[in-house]
Amino acid sequence: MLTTLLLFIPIIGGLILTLIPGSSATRWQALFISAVAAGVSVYMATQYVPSAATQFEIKAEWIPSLGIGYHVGADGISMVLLLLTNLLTPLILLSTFKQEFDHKGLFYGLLLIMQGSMTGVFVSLDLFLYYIFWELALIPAYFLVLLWGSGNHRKTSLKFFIYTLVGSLLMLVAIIFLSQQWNPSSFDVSNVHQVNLSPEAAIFVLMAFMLAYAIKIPLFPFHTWQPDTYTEAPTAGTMMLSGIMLKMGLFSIIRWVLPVVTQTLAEQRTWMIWLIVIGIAYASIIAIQQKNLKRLFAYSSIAHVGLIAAGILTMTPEGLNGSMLQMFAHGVNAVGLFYICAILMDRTQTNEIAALGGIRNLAPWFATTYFVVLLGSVALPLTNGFPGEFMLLSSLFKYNWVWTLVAGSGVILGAVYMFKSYQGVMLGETKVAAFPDLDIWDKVVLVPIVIAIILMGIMPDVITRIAQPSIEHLLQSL
Amino acid sequence: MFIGAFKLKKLALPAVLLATLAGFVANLLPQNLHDAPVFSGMLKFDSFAVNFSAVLMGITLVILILSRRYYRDTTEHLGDIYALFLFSVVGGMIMVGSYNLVMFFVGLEILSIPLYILATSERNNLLSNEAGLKYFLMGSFITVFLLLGMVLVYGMSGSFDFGVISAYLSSTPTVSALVKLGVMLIMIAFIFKISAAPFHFWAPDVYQGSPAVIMVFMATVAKTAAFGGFLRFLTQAIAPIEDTFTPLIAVLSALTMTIGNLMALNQSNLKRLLAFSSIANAGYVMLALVGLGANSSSTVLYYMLVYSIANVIAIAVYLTVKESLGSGSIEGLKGLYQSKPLLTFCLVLAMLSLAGIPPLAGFIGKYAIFVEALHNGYAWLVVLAALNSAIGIFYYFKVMRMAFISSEEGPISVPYVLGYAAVLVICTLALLVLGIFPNVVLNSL
Repeated sequence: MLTTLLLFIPIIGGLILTLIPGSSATRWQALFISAVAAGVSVYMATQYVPSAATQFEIKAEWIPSLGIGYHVGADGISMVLLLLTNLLTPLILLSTFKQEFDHKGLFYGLLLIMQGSMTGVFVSLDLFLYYIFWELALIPAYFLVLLWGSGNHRKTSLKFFIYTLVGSLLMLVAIIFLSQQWNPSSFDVSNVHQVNLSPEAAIFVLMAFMLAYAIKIPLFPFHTWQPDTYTEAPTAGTMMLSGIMLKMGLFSIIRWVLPVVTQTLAEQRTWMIWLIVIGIAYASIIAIQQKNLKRLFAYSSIAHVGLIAAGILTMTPEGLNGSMLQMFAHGVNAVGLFYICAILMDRTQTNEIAALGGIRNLAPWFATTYFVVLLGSVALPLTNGFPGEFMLLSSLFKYNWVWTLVAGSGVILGAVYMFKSYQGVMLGETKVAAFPDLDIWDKVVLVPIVIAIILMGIMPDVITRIAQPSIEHLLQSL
Repeated sequence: MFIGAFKLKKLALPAVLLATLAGFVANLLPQNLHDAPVFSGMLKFDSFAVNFSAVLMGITLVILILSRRYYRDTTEHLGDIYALFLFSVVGGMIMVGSYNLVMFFVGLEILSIPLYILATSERNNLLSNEAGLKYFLMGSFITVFLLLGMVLVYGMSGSFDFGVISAYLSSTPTVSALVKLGVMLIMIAFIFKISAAPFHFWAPDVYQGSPAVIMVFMATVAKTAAFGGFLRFLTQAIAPIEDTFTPLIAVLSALTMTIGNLMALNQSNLKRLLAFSSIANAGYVMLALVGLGANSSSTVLYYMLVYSIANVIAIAVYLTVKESLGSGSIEGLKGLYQSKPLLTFCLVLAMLSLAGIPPLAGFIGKYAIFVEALHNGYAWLVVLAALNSAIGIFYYFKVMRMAFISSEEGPISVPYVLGYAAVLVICTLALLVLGIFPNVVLNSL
């Protein structure tokens, strides 16, 4: 029941908001709906018993003639992501409170529908249901970019949509194929995880799924939609996309690829990890060259999530635990970083690094929070980025030290471009006329993020405790 | 139907609506359901016929509501127009209920002849006249194929009765080429009616030229009836030799959806775009015909219902907007969101459903069809259809995006019309319900 509530509170609330014209109260209504869902998710986390079993499970028939069921539930892995989704969304909503824009009802409604459908991806235990939520999350994202984007956003939104949809459609074909392995056809997780495929079929299924996820995450070389979309989307949309939505892809590898085509993945993963680690270094090098802060963060995101994906593909407890930690940390950091972009945009009307400078003297609060988020992002020890990144790198090291070297160089380059950007924006000669420091609304968003960054750096155990039993169970059952 | 004779313009629509509603209810009464053929073996009202008839009448009902406003300025012949609508839908019901080739032919003609007239019902519009003439010439020409095919089948099997034909085919070890030729000719008539390639050329011109309410009637009711008749013929008359024709249907399906989608990409007239979209959709539905399983009929029924609803919504939005603009181009939708967010919401749902985006009903329909084809080993066709769906997104989204672009002249003023609003509300709700609870229809047969 709790899972169903968690799913449909934001979706139904969001639908209602899209239909009523926006007013000044809309943002509060949206925040309330989102906060209720956050409360439910926290309550679920407190009720959650760290063990391997799936909890809060509901199983009912939906379209029996096609073998489709409404089967939802949460294990430790999904629990972490449920917390991430539902705790970040209220913060993302809060981050827009100061802005003035058109069609508020639709804007907040779409964000809430996204929250609900991403929750759906994490709790679905029926492959068909999962696919529906997977696609449902895409529609609001498309409209957010289309209607509130900037620059060349009309073209970008369509490219983003078509790109991700082509991947998803091939995944759909693979999903149909998997369901047909059973008579009558079935999409249920218990059946999908036990499927026996011929080697050729397994390759096809692996490729179809991995392509969809590589586009969504995005992994090199399928990342070309990402920098444009992140740069041109409204900030709240970028936060949703990078903070939460790309975790759908990473989570899906753990839930729907590892246990289904284990053997084939183990055979094929070498070249995949090669591609990914090359992508990490590649994205980091490009990030150094970026002149636009938002674009720089977009490329840094490619590098970070690449490392997570590589860690998952090692199929070791270390890699998976590290990926859970880093998924959470990256979500928090991404929201922080893109909010910093929004603050700069709001006060100086530009995100070009060259046009900024010396803001530290004018806004000490802003300088400090920016610095903490940055430290988290470059994975300094005692911030949230460190434990996850460390575990991921060490899991790679066990297979091939060259991978660690290449991926590790990405981490080092990460420090280079992050500090370089900080230098450009905050230090040096003051180029902006005036820069008001953080007001109360900014603090409401950034202070929780700063606290989360430090707390998770000191006690990564909060996350691993929830996820670990499920991860161990998963790896044993492979 | 004869209300036109009394020239009671005011009464015409309520009477017609009442008649359709009564027919809809009567159709669904349990007494109506007989598994044995009636009228000396002419018709058979099994659950297949009843469900298809219900869909036909339900959609006619909403189109009739739409037509009230559309024909408000028509002073004469209003009763005739409504009567023609009803004749046509009766023809469709005969088609899906027929158990005899002759009856089937009669149904097809009763369906078509009123449509020829209706297509020209905007008498002062040259395009409308062209549409009617074109449709009539092509349609009557195709009828010849149908009759010739029927004669050949009759000549070999000795009967028009579906049951007898089916028994003859299963008892004959080697079916003669003449029968196959006959079946082929009959199928040409179907392919024409559902506007599948290579007999699709009439559809864009006729759809564009006809009045919008007639166009949507042709694209939904007539097409659903044709698919119903097609299915009926395939499953009940020629089931034993159906395998011979599946490769042909598969190739035509691939051709139809590809042509429809590619041609739709560059259309700027909404009706013409919907015409090509309807060709593409015919291609998808044919996927369900390549191998007939237990679920084929309900899958086709569900798909056609969902597709029809989405089309009615699109046309209703178009009509509402057209009142203020008078142009048929999709550019006319510009600025719609600024002035009418709810109207845009309906349009967006319809387009998303047509594009087959989850969780809307169009997706479930497409999915069920893909599964049907996959069951029969047509994996290549399914992959092609999936790619085609991706192409479809381009033009469906083009329409959708237009509504969100702000127009140069500021927000457009759109009148509030009760009839259109009612249709939109009914159809949008139906679309949502069918998407969330597809079982209502998907398991009905």
